[in-house]
Amino acid sequence: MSHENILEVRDLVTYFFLRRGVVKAVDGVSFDLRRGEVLGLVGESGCGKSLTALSIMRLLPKGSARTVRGEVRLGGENILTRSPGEMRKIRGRRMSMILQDPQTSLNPVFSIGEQLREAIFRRRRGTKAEVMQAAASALRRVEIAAPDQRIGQFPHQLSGGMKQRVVGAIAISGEPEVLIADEPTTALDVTIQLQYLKLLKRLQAETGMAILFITHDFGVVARMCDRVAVMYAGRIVECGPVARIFEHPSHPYTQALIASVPRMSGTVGGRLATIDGQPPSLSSLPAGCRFAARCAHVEARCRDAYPPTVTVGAEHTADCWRLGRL
Amino acid sequence: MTPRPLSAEPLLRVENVSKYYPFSKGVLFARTLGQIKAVDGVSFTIEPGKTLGLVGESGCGKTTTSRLILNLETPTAGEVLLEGRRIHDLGGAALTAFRGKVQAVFQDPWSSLNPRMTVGRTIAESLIVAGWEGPRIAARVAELLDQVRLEPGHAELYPHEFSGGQRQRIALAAALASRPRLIVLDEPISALDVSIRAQMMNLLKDVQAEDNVAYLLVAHDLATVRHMADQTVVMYLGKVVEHAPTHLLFEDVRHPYTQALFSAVLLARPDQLAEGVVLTGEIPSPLSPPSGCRFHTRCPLAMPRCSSAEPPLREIAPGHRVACHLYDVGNGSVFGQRTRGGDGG
Repeated sequence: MSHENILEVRDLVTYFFLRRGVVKAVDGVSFDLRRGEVLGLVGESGCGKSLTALSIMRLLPKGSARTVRGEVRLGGENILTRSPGEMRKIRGRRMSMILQDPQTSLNPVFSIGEQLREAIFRRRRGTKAEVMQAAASALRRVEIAAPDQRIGQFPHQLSGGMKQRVVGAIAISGEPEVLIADEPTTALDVTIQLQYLKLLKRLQAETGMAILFITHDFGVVARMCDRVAVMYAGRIVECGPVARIFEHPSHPYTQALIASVPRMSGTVGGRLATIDGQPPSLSSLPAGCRFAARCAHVEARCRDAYPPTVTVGAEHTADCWRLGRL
Repeated sequence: MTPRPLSAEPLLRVENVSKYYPFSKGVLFARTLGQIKAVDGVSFTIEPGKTLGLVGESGCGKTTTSRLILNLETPTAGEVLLEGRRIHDLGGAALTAFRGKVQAVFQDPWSSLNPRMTVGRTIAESLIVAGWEGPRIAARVAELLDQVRLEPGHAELYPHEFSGGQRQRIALAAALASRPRLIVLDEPISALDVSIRAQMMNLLKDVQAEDNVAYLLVAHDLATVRHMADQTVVMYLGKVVEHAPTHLLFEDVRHPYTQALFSAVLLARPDQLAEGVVLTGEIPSPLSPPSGCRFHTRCPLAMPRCSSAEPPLREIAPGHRVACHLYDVGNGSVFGQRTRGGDGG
């Protein structure tokens, strides 16, 4: 619709078809990713945030998982209808992905240089010396010291933070318009995590790429993101600018999540606010609001029908029956 | 039941404990190349019913320290005393009694419970070892399940029928069965979902109030430590760099490494973003730790003497100990004021 959106996801539905039933992992997800922004996708494990990313990349696990409905428009074109061959050209060039565990993202039997070279060579042919030089400069770009020595090393010779930088270098080597980062710092130590987030921010500013940043950590959201979408049981329940979501969370789930995190300042002691119960099973979702069973403000209509998406402020929406009345 | 220790004696005393692992090459004619100093001269105490938080990044020795306290490792030097008795000299019945007094809850509730045992059997395990019988065991198991907010009927079920948060509560019930004096909590909430963490933290606090059990909380999340711990010990590459009552530490962080850790905390509030001390470089290998102060290679305030002389852990304010040359006497110490104050929000 708009030129400023590089990625538009509309009513995306991805299910697992298992013998014991259908698991509705992603069940009607819609959002826009604007050029040059960082959009956070936050939620607990099993809420469908990673599967949303894999559906967009069309890298769903083979076999049981299938995208049944929806559109993923990259620069205005629906890529869900593209052939596997066309998708291979899109991945790495227009869209890239960084996964949580750098240990499994890199191939242990090839050197760093060879793995980078493979990514660079797909985009730009050249002599071996030229490609190796491009690989070294890609490493320098992700702040790896002494890249000429590192290039011949294997993944096990690098620390976790350095491996994740190499993964980052591979991901951005094709100069993608969209980078999907799925919990890229969860496996890293805190001081290394901060380094990595700053690096991603800098690379984003340099390249102008848009980042879809998947995380469960509101601290990372506050640090990294411009806007945030909160996911619960397969759907986005609230979406808005980061500052607004932190100051005025509108969905009871977002409110409870933010309240349950211990603070670094203010009074200590006393009890933390909790969210009782657990998320619903994705193979037997309730008819109404998925958070109803755990919600402190639940009403009869919450259990009967899924709530409408209500605009509660500038660029700020939430799916909740109570908000419609205000 | 137990001989009453002197009133001055803390529940647990860790005294100058070190653990070195030989590092060798080759199999048949192995040569010892050096030693990994996983833990190097660590001391602290834990009082009954209190919580000590142990903070640091990977490789700092916090797991080795907790294994030494659990008597799963023997120290290379120094000693650990529980109620005034050296735990590494214990054997036979005394060792069995020790195992009942010091229990552990580990990070991953998916691997710490036996999938082939019912929850009731897992919880009863330490009671069976202690020689308890049928009806008494069943009654105690029901009591424990109630204490961790589970149903008595859950005793018949297997671990796979529970969520992560429930499993961690089962692990806590099993640890509590023998009425321990100390529980080592090794990252007890970091494997849990955000919405479940607060429940577990509240439960741990309730259980501590009910049973007067002490906790050694190994964690990397400072906000969790702030919420849970009375004392906090910060470790870096096998050494204690800062040790203070938690409220004091969070008001006035002194060691540059601790300051960097605080700066690295990603506050869940965009308005609280602070730059503070940002570290560059990697954590050095414990195989060849830097000379002098082990932090000097990454320290933004390093001075020439930091690379040659190792700073001792010194008390700079009542109860607040720091190992840093910035606080050497005659240094006119005005350093170390934190760049970011608590905002009371």
